Amino acid sequence: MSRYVPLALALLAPLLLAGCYEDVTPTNYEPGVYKGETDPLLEKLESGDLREELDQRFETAATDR
Amino acid sequence: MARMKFLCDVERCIECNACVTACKNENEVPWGVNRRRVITLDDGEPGEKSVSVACMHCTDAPCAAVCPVDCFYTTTDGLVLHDKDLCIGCGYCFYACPFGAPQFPEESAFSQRGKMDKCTFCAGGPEDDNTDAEYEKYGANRIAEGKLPACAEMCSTKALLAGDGELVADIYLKRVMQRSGRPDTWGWQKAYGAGV
Amino acid sequence: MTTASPHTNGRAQNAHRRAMIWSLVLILAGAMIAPLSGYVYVAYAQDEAAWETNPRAETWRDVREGEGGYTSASGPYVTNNLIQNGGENWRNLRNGPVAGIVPWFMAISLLLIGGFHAIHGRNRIDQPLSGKKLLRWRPWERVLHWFTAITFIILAITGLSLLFGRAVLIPLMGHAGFAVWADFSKLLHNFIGPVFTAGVLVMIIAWVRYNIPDKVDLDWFRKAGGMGKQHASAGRMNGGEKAWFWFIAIAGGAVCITGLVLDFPGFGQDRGAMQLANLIHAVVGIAWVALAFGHIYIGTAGTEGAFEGMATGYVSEEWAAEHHDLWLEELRKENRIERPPSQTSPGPITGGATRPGSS
Repeated sequence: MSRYVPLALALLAPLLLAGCYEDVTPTNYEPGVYKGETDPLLEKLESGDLREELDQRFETAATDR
Repeated sequence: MARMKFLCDVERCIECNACVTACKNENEVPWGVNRRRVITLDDGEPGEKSVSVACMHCTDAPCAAVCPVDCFYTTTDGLVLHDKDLCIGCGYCFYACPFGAPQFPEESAFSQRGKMDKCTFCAGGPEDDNTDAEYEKYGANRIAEGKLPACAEMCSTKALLAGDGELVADIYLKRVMQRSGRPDTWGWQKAYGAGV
Repeated sequence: MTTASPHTNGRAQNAHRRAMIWSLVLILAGAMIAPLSGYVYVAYAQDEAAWETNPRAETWRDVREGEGGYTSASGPYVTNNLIQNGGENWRNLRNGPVAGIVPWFMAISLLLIGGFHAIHGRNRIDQPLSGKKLLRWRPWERVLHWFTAITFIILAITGLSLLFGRAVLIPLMGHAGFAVWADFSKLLHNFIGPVFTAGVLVMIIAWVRYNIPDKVDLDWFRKAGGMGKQHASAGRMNGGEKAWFWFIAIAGGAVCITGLVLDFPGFGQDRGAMQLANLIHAVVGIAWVALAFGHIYIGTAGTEGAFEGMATGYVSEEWAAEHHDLWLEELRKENRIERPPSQTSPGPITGGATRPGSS
């Protein structure tokens, strides 16, 4: 009986060890999909006011006068 | 959805390195760390071109994909930021990055590098906006103040554009039509995918 | 003479036929290949034309291919090329096949070991033990073995943590918890690696003379290391031990060298070299871990009396007769058998505890 214990363990080990890596194809991160710690900046960016401010600033800063 | 992008208009860039200086000054980056650099192709020959390069904030960022501690995160408008508290300084992001953006404060034996530092699009890090803690680790957070990256804002020839990708493209296309040349959205395909 | 002429005639005919066939083949192949040479000219001419008419296209093509320029920025991590394409390849290989397929080496190894143990069971010593022991591993050899063994295990755990931690450990420990462990792992891996390399180097130098392959090893492998009904002879090192030795010397050496390339940046190695080194290090390193499972199994649970040898330095005479009969014979003949201190009383069989004079 005891000789089947290592066999069972050996069958279990591949599942634990090899099947773990998330996927073989590399992860793709889409813009806007946020993952990570809390960053207060993210809320501000969601609000839209900041967005508008930034876009206005870009227009004034980057266009030729 | 807005998508922040950098674009360097190579017909305008005059290799003055003001963007590099602005970046260093704004973020007080340590000596030897270059978040932004200007590279001149065919230096001194006819057809010389200069390009200002920093982190391009890729859509499918290779640095984020290879980071063993998963310290990168993407903001809603596509900025690739990282958490220095998690970073272990393994250098993998530097191997993977197409633009050579990740920098480290040291390069010594036993791979002692210190924490990775790179362009944040002047958007700081995960700490509270514009606190000392954030400034010390990531430099300025101009985005939170409604400002754009210092490098682009003070570019004298307006070669370096930083802002929402669509607005950047609009301005750039206008310029290209005026001067009748071919557009060179340098690095965009690499950073943002084939669609741009 | 007359009998030879039809013979030579036939040979001449054969030669003619062969010449004809080959000529036809040559003509056919030439007819297919020769027109393609036009493409070479066209490609070359177009290249020339592109350079003459549009140097800008050339510039951007060079950039895409990773050509560098001049930059006034300076620092250890400043590069002068706009785009390096190797990074993306490295990322796809590392996150793809290396992380997704290579761990199966370890799984298959464990599976084979478990299956073998379940079917074959422990390799026991056939003869009853008489209690007589003899020296197999000198203290310095055991210190060397356990030094590399312990550092190897530390390197394996920390190295695997760095490659698979993101997938396996972050869900368990969280980002912050794993970052602490990964930081520690990296530190340990980077400092123990060179020390381990030194251990491996000493090991290769110390044991290479026992590991020169010979005919006995072929026979040993043919008899499956004595696992079948036949007894497989072996000298001080059997065929399996020699294979393990040469795996460590060659593949292990590659792991050590690539490890040093990664561990000591600033000797002029560029990102491309580090990417390649990293891939070799990961793939061969994991294969090493997979084979080490087998080594650990054979040395502990798999073979009765084997662990004793590396733990105490002494093996039973029956174990030696079964696994290393030629070695035992040689020791007997040269009167070099060393007994443990408790058995050193002079007797007819021991032949005195003479230390080997030379070497």
